[in-house]
Amino acid sequence: MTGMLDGLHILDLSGITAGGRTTQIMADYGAEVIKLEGPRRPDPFRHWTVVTGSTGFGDLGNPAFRVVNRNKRGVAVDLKHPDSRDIVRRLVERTDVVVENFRRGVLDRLGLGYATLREWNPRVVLLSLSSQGGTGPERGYVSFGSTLEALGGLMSMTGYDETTPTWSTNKVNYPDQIVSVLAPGLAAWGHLRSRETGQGCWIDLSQRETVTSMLGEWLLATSATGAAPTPTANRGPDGTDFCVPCAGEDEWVAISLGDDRHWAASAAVVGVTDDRFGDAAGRRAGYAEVEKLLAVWAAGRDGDEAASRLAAAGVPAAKVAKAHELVDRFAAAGVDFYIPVGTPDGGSERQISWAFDVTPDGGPAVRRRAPHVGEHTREVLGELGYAPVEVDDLFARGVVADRVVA
Amino acid sequence: MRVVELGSHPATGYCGLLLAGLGATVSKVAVGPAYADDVALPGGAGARAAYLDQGKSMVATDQADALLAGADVVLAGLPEADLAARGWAPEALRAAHPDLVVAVATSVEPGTPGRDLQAQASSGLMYVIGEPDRPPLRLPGPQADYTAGLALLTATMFALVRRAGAGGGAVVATTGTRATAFLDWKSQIYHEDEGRVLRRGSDSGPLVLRCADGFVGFYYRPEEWPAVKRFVGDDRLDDERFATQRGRDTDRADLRAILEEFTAARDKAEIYHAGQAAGIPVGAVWDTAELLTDPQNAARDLFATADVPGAGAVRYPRLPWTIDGERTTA
Repeated sequence: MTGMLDGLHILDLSGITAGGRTTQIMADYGAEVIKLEGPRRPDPFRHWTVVTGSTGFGDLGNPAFRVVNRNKRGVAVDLKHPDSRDIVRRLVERTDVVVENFRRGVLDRLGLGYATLREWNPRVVLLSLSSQGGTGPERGYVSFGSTLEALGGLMSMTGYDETTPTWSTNKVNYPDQIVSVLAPGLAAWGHLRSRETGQGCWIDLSQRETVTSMLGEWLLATSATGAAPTPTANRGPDGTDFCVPCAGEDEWVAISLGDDRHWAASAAVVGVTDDRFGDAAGRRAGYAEVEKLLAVWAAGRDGDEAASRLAAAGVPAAKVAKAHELVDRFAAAGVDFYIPVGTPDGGSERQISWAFDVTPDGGPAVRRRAPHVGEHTREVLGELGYAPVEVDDLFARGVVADRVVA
Repeated sequence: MRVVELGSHPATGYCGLLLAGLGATVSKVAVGPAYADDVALPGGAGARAAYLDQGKSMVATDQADALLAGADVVLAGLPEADLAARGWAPEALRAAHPDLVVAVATSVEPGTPGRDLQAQASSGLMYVIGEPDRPPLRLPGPQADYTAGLALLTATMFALVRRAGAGGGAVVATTGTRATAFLDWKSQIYHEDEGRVLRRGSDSGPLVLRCADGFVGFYYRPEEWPAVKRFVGDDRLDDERFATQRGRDTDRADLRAILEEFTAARDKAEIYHAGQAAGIPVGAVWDTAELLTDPQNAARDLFATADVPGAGAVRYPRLPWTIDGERTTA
């Protein structure tokens, strides 16, 4: 099977998730991705135990790292060693897209700014994933995903009420995730343009601004009215969305009643005859009462049953699914959303597959597990034209490595 | 690149906005209903429509077929049945125009009733947002639909790369549910690895703290704890109980009380800038009004201005990237 990005060469200098997942998505579709790490300071995501504390499999211990770095080859090069420059130059010469998410200024200090990359390869696209962009008074500020939910505006509208601004926490790190769904498309766009013009470009994607972009209509509305929206739990823009508990452990159903026909259908299912709620204004005004009516009905059934009864009557309704339940749900719908991937001990785990379907088949596949630090250093140096004796010398002098160096 | 957008769905609408920002010529055929649950502006126009339609030319339905003949990309934002009824079923379009990339999105599985809320619920994302003893929480706006729009952009670009090489168009498709489940991938892999169900709750690690004029996202990693102690300068933080992340999570209420004594006496801007200067990745919880006057956004020329009938001059965010240092506008 050929992938849509077969033949594309990516040099991945990034760490943690936003950049790593960007290049994973490209690698899944056939791009040849080389993950470059420092032998002394490899990607900290390898040992990211903030959420689960996992420690198995050594430098592949974090299960999330294994997802984000599948299909890549790993090389370990000390970018601070002066003799690394020739290696990186040779890599860049054959690269279509370089991806990085260093703190602003670090790439230039390493002598790898866009001007240098372009000198080595005028066709190269540099994709920078930055917290707040490469300019402005806060460009140097440090952030992790959830910091940018605060700064980008999302938290000010998420929560139970105005006293509980809420973030997605370390479990999700929402800004990193949205950026990594967008960034592969931007990289591919840059590559297409480079093919047409022979000239690469530097794409600087601001994570904070991506959060704000996805709130565009609210910014626009605020600019017109002066009023900033505050959290309203699950009521939604028109005040007619509900999330009520069902029978069972932490079971919930999410129901939208913005449309009068949907209310009429749900009233029939739920057994309500109160005509005060027949129009959207009535449902908004009586929100707490409608919520209670729905909750009383839902308490007698689990989330799946509540959702399917309402959906069968044409009402927008869905169970609040738990992530592990999705494996069976998507399988039942005929979507291979979770696929087996080998683990370092010869076993197998299910990992999430792809975000979209393509016809004719886009050829996504998992061809190899995530690499150990420097696992492919020798192989790649050979492809770059270094003779075995030169490779040995680079190892001996600590310019490169095939494992973590203390 | 010539793009034709059919109908008004937030996923295809947002994808069209992004494509316009990348220099595509986007023509929108406004068939079918307007955006559902739009945010009303003074004068009655919808804020979502005003935002997503920037940079697009509106064309009449009877011109659609002529435009489709010359298009590179079609964004199909109508329900399946409506597309088929108009002769725009994705496979039919591709059969008629073999080099066309047709991008299709719905909020939930085609044929199932649902909008953004149901997509967030059925994706698993909603389950992990909020507090453990309270209901799951949605994210604001059509975040699931917009995430589907991001996925469509990437799928479309991949298909165009293939077309430039091997040739031929494609149909690319996703749903808000699927794109958002893809986004919340960590919940599944942690369950796969350890059998643990990640529960919602901001009950470990960083805290959201009240300050004099609002809130601050007090993000810190275990390695930044010494910097936190220096920044706050309260001897009680030297307590043995707070020496490890586990201890800080166990005695979280006490920790919060000490930290909030410090933050409640200061503005969020002060805590943000001083905290960053101290090497702590904190962020102020800015609201949309504050973002419109924010110095970083102003320095980066983030906002553009447009006239909306009935609402007058409005401002909206331009695209979140620069190309060779230049901001692009849809």
